[in-house]
Amino acid sequence: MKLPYRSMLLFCSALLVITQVQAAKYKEVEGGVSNGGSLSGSIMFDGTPPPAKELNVDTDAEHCGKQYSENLIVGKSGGIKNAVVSVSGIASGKAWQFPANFTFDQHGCVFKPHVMLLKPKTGGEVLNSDPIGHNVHTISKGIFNVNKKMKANTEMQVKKTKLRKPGVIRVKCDLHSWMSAWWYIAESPYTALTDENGNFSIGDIPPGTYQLKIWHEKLGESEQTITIEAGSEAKKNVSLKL
Amino acid sequence: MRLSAFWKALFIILVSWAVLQWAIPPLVPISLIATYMSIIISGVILYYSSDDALLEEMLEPVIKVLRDDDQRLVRWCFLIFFSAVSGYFTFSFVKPSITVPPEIRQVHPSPPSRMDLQGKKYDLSALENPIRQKVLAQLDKDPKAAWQYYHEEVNKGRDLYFQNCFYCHGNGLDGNGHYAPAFDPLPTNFQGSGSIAQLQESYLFWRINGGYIGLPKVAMPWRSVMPAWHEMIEPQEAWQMITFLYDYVGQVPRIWDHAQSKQVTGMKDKLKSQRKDMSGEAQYQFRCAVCHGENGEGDGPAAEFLSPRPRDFAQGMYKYKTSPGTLPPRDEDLFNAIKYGLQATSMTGWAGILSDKQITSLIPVLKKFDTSAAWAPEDAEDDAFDDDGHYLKADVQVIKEQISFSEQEPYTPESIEKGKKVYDENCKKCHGLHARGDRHSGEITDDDWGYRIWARDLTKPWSWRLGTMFPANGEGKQQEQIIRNIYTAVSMGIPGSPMPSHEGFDGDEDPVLRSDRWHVANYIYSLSLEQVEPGSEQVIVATELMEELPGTVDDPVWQTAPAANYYLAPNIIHEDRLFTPLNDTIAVRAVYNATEIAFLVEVNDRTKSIPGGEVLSQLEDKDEVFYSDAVAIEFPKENAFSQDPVEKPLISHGDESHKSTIWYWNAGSVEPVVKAMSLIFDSAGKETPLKMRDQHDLKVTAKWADGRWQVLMKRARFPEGSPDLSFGQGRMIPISFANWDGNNAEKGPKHTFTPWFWLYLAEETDYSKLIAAPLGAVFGTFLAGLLLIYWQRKQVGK
Repeated sequence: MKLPYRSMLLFCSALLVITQVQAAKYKEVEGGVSNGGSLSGSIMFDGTPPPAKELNVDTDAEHCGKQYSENLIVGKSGGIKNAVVSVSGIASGKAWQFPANFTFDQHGCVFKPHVMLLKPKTGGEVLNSDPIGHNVHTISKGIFNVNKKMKANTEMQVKKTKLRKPGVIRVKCDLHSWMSAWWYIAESPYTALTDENGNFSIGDIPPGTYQLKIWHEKLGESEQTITIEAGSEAKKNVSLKL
Repeated sequence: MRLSAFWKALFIILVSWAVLQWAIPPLVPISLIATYMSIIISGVILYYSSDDALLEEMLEPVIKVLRDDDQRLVRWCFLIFFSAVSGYFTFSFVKPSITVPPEIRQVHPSPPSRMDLQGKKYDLSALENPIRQKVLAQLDKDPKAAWQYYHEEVNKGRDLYFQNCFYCHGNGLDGNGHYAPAFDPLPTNFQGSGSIAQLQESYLFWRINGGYIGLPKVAMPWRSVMPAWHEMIEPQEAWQMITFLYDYVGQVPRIWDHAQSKQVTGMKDKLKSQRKDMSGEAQYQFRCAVCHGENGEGDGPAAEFLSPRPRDFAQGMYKYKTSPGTLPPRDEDLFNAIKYGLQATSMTGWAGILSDKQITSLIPVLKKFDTSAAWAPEDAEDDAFDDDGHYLKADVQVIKEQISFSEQEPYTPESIEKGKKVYDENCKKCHGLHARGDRHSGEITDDDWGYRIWARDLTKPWSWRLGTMFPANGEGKQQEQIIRNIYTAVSMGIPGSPMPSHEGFDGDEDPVLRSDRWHVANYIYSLSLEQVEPGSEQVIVATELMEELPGTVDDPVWQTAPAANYYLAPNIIHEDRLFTPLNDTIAVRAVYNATEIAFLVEVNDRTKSIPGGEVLSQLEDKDEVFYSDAVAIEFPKENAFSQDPVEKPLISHGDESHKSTIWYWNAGSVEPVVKAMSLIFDSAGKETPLKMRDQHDLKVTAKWADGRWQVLMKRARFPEGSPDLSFGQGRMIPISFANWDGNNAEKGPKHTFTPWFWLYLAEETDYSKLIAAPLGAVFGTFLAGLLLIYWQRKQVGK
């Protein structure tokens, strides 16, 4: 029997975990959180980071040029970029301070940004700034599944109502198999995307003990237990390996 | 008015003929009609010649025509008419014709009295279904427990049926499974009162466990692919299947014990009345859940044996919809998919089994499985969804909007040509240079669930899911219908697959212009007419050549030989079983000269599968196993078949008393280094391992290009000193084929195959015979007529 491919298994299991957590429908508390704690830290890569893999550009090579995999980007400090860190299980709390709209581009046969962190019900536009056609194919568990051909230099609108629930959306282009991106729709505002040094910080966390969830497209999902005390500044560094 | 004797006689003869021809169902064979007619005509003649007066009365009009002066014109007309008729009959007699030898098969042969299974003896005349016996024994004392046990066993039988049988016998148990078209006769239809309702359960037990191997000659075992299931399932499992079969079709087996029969009928009637007004939910669990899963997630017990997988209804994505943009399907789309099915998938239409009302009742069930808010109102509150995303309120949408079929471009050569340009620009990247779906030879594409998927081969209309039966786009002529179906798939894309939509939605610009989408639909329709329809030819007619046989697959001589095309079915009847093949047909041409015969075998195969080779090396990091592509042709040995009466070896590998010869070619591999091979094997049935011959006179040339293997196999026609058959002219020779798609992990018994067809080496037409004989007949009849007239007119003078 044919099995789904390894990456997809990983992806699906990641989705499963996430769809289960989305149980909590997050509510903003008026006046915000008083006496909350904060959490910051870094997601580090354990081991020698593999060199960026050159991808097989077998279509439109004259325009797309050389392409390198973005599925694991480790900074000079050893921090992992594009990991999503979230303090899970908080049903209500601070107001969302996430952008109200997004812009997602196809440029030089690369999706930009590679990982996009959004709050539920964010609308936006998908651009194709390339002089060649692409297709935007989003794959998710019941969130937003669309597959649309986009001509050179065109755009498409994504309505706010489309991205209505938390979860992970994988984006690919079937014409250019190396093109890949992720839209991560957060369950609560206690979610952050790591920068190029693997750093993150999350503020105004109501005191308590939580599961800290880390999602990474290649390294999968992992969990840590953390305790946030009122008014404190907690630190947490996590190492992940292949 | 009183009819004269002549007209009476003619009337009797004509009426008798009409009755034989039309009034007696089914069709009476022409040879039988001829026999009956000759008896009737003799009777009429006898009657009228019994009395001189009667005879005279009958002959009167004939004599009149022959003798009278005023009948001159009529006389000449008759003379010419009879001459022409005799010429015509002589011509049809001498003209070369190819008739398939008749194989009249006994459908329900009598069973043996005993059967040995895995060392255990079964007395078939006294054998009862132990599950039914147990249920009946308990039914009066503890009906609840009896019914519970019954349902448990039926459900086990259902799962077994769908993991083993439904590929041929169909999801509706109507003999209409997705691999059924490869076979003749079609698999047994269990529905209705004509098949299993006529039989005892012990008979089914024998048929299931005995398979084709246990069939007597009168049932033509070589035409059956029913495996001997005892090799793969336990006797108890066979009984579970049998109980399920009767349950599902609502029939009772033939039971001699009157009291028992009554009890079983009572159970059936009870079930029938329960099922008569089943809710949509119950209907879904009864009919659909085995593939689509109890919760509609496409994960029923049969799912892993199917490709494409059953749809997961939780994602709100349906492959075929006629609603515009990102809207979910219209109710009509769901209705049509259920009623008519999706061609070449295991979802065969339910039209014969479910009423329109029952089908309609399933639509809300499907919508309830959705977790993507597809049918929820756009302004639905978050609280209206459960944790999994199911919409809980009743105000689900019914989509009314339909895509527009306006501005359809007529199907003209100009439009097809424009469509080709649109194709090259937009479609070729995935569907390939010759539209065989081969562009991604070096890449794996997967669907939204992570399962491997391929661009459709657009030259094979029988593999398109949107078949000709699918009336989603309104009534119309078949051609127009198909073109609209193509236009819909191009415009809307195929949700859940890499096929994107090409129509702008929500106010966006069209990525491909409407007119261009119509042109490309016309172009793709034109491609669908290129191949011979699979299974339409029972006989491969080999063409005689006076010169050397072609040495390459590209030789134009091949185009002069007629092609036959056959469905390939996967081997699901012996371990290791293959459930999900990729290559579905094999096309064949044959030519021969005085000493040799050559076959050109063509298989559309999207990948050139040679381990370590160029195409596969890019896939190596994926969890796939690859082997070499291969093709085989099988013939019986010289003494292992007969044409009249027909007798052949068992399908695929023959049997102990009907051995066969297999011509085998394998594409070889780069890593490890194995050269392409052409081998001859001796086969004596499944029980005996194939024997490779140390003989290398099979000459093979093979070429893969743009998603197609072309394999030329050549060998001597008259193998000397060997039991292999002689390819003599004018004889019907059984022939069958097999294919291994290495890219689909096919190796050894995991492969596809065809049943037996016929090969016929046509004799060169003898034109002197073809023209001279009818001419002679015309002339002879004319002369005889003249003599008759001359003699008759002389009588007048006397």
